[in-house]
Amino acid sequence: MNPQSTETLLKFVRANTATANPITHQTDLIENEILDSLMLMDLVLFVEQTWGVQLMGSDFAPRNFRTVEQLAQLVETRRLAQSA
Amino acid sequence: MKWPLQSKPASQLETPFFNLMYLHARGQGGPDPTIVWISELPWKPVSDFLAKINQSGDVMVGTTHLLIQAVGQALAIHPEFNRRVVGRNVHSFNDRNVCLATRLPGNNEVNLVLVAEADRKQIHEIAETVWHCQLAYRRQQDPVIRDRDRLRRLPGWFFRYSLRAFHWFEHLFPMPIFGRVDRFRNSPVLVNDFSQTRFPLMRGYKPSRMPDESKSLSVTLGPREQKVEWHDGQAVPVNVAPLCVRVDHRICDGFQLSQFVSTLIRLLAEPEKMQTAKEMESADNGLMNFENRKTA
Repeated sequence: MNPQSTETLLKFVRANTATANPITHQTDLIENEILDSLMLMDLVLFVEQTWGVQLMGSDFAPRNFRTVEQLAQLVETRRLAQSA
Repeated sequence: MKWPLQSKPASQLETPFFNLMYLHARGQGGPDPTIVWISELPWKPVSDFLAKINQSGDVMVGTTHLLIQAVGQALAIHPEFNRRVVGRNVHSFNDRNVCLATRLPGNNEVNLVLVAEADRKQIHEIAETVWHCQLAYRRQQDPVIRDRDRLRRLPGWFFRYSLRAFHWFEHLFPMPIFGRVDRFRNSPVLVNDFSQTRFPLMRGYKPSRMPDESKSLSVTLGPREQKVEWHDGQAVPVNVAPLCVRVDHRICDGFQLSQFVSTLIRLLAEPEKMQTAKEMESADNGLMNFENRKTA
């Protein structure tokens, strides 16, 4: 996993969330109700614009968006798939 | 071409007199046939359910999807809300479709998503439909975007008079669905989800009526907030979200609206039950009772 992608994503999530609790790359975004439908679309847009990858409908699974780390993993997978 | 409405309007003899007064009142500048009911939804059952369902599964489920499902099932239980006014008549819709208003980041356009037969769909199917449509809008791939752009390019006067002519026919006659742009007329309800905490506190919300008059009902979920309730003499903090329902008085009255709101809150307070065939069946029974009342 690219630590730079994780940091970039973490910065984005922190900047766009109004929660008082600290967010780390391991924070459960779903259980802590950080990730709502607007936030998810914001994230998809951000990922697509920043890394030039295209997320599919099948990527909208909880396992891919639960933590910033898992999202970074998804970005890496999509980047590798598109460059292959 | 699809005909969204049943051809036979509701009988005047069955229509409550108060509703008839609104129905036959003068149009522009006449009485405002709007009733708004603002209630509160306990948030814990919703968040618990979403946390549980998102533990596994192939698609993210959110409050929007749950709200759509609840509105679909509430329409099945209270079919008198699955109707709209055409001219001086009230017509029932053939299907129980739910329309969602969404707004995507970096785009000033409000996009509508139509979830067909929302009462019969499982929550994952609804979530898939909504994500798919939102992605298509986001990527400018939905043909509606091209249609809207074409319409925007029309000369102002032509657009204005075409729109007025369409609304005049639409207002007076049950019209079929012609294409992609007007397919959203095939639903009596518009759902708005503002439950995210990023929105300011909501004490009331009355969305405007759409010019085509197809949406006689609107359901809005506001941002959740914490309040204190007393349980056994002790102050307990609880999360609640405002639920605002606007309806056209020409199709129902305040009492019926209270029943509809109660059903909606009951469904959302027990989301697990909505997923079972039994609840869908009871929704069907509600429809059958309504049809029997009509024919009796």
